[in-house]
Amino acid sequence: MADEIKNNEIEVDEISAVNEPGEFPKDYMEINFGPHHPSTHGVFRFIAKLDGEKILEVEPIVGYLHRGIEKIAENRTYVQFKPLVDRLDYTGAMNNEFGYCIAVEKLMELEVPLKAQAIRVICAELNRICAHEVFFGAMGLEVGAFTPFLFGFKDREIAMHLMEMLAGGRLTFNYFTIGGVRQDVPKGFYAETKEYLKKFKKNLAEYHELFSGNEIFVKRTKGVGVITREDAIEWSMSGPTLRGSGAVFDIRKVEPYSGYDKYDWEVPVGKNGDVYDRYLVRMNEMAQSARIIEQALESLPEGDHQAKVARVIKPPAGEIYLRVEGTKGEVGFYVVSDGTDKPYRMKIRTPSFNHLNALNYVLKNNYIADFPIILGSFDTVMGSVDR
Amino acid sequence: MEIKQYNFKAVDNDKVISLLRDKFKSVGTSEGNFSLNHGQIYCEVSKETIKNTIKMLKNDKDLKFDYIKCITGVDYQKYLEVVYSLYSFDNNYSVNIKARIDAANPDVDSITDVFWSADWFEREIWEFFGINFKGHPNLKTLLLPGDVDYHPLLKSFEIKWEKREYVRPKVFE
Repeated sequence: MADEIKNNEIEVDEISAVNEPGEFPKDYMEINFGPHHPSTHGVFRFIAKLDGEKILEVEPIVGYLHRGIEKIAENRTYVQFKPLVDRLDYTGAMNNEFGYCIAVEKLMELEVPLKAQAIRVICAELNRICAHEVFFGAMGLEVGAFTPFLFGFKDREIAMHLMEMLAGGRLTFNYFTIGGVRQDVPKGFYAETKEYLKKFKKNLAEYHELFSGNEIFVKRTKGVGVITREDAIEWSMSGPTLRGSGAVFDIRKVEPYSGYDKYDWEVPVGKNGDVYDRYLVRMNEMAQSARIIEQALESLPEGDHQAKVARVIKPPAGEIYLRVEGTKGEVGFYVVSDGTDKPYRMKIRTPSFNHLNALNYVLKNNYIADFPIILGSFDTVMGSVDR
Repeated sequence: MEIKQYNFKAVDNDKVISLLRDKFKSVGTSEGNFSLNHGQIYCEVSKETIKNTIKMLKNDKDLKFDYIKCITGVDYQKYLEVVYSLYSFDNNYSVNIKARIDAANPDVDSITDVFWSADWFEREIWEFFGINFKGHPNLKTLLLPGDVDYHPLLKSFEIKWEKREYVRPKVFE
């Protein structure tokens, strides 16, 4: 017995001596993860090479939700294509519509009435709160806490009800039109939103008390999945992921659209670039969104909710790349028009696509148990990766 | 890590164009065909020089285009085009670099060793347009199934509307 143990010890030493830095150990394990694993947030699969519990390499495999939306766009008119834009990032559908409508409007050089602009901002920010509320709930599940999920979804439900008042839909809205929004603000929306925001601010403070300072949560997330600012830029990361790494950068501030420069708000930013910072940035962003909505409601201008647009939309020949700040990061539309009523080419740039591209780099040398937290901190939506 | 505040000043596009012209000349990559479209700068360079151009744009001290907004392909039937949309955080400059690619023999140098994030962008263009990125380390299908032999975003590829009828399996009869 004693001899056996001794032999084992020698073998272990030999194996570790063979491995040189940068080389995989000979006895690494390869595991398949997904595509239907609940912690992958959709249908996402990856093959991981593990040394014990440490991740050596990750190969993300995507495309399970590919619907060919870019090809469909070339066979639809501009108006017909708009509902499909909602289906990209279905937790932040209004923000996708925002980008698409602005891109086409800029191609047509169309002026949007001030009232429509303000309503759009309210919608986009309400939807941002919804999306981050989902993130908050999912983040709780990731570390094994179920309460945040219930709290987050309870709050989100009311915000979705508000958007239902406007658009009639709860998740995919088709509310924005090229030139404005489909309907005017209904009666009672103003009062209900104000009431909601009052409650929401109270709830947000409660969330921070409940979860942000929780010792288990802080210990699981601080110093995990660190991305430096330079690397985040190199990997084309955007949105809260980039801001968590210490870059004060928000497209709503840099290239203000739809009157975002009129409102007084701040860009929340992280310091260490870890999972905890990305979490905090999103939480603080919700408070800022509430601030923007309040101001937009206060100063809601009188007038039309839609510009006068021809029934058949035919932007003049030309091309444009336009980006807006989506809920997960930079949502960009590269539209090439040939003067007909159908887009010649429609490229949709989504933030989650780039975040998953960097997954191997970020996950390397982390533990497999931290994988759900790190992936969760990117808040990827597979609908927007696969398109 | 420190927090970095970026400069959000409005940019004079004509100034950027003249700056880019000077830089292109000094490096000797190519002259470039500049145009302004809806307040955005577009620049056409030849496909042989695209890698050097982007390397210069990234490493130059005055320009510092350190972020890829988007890389995409367009099929203009007679020729293909790859469009690189770059952004400079420090200067708040944006530029779209275009390269024309022969449709019969589509290939262009990969920029994966200049920008890490070019990896998936180029893989996507390769599978949807069939443009071969020379020097890309991992050129395989990303969104489509692995066994496809077509490039769906080419204009020659048509969507077929097939009516499929449900065939009741014999087991139930």
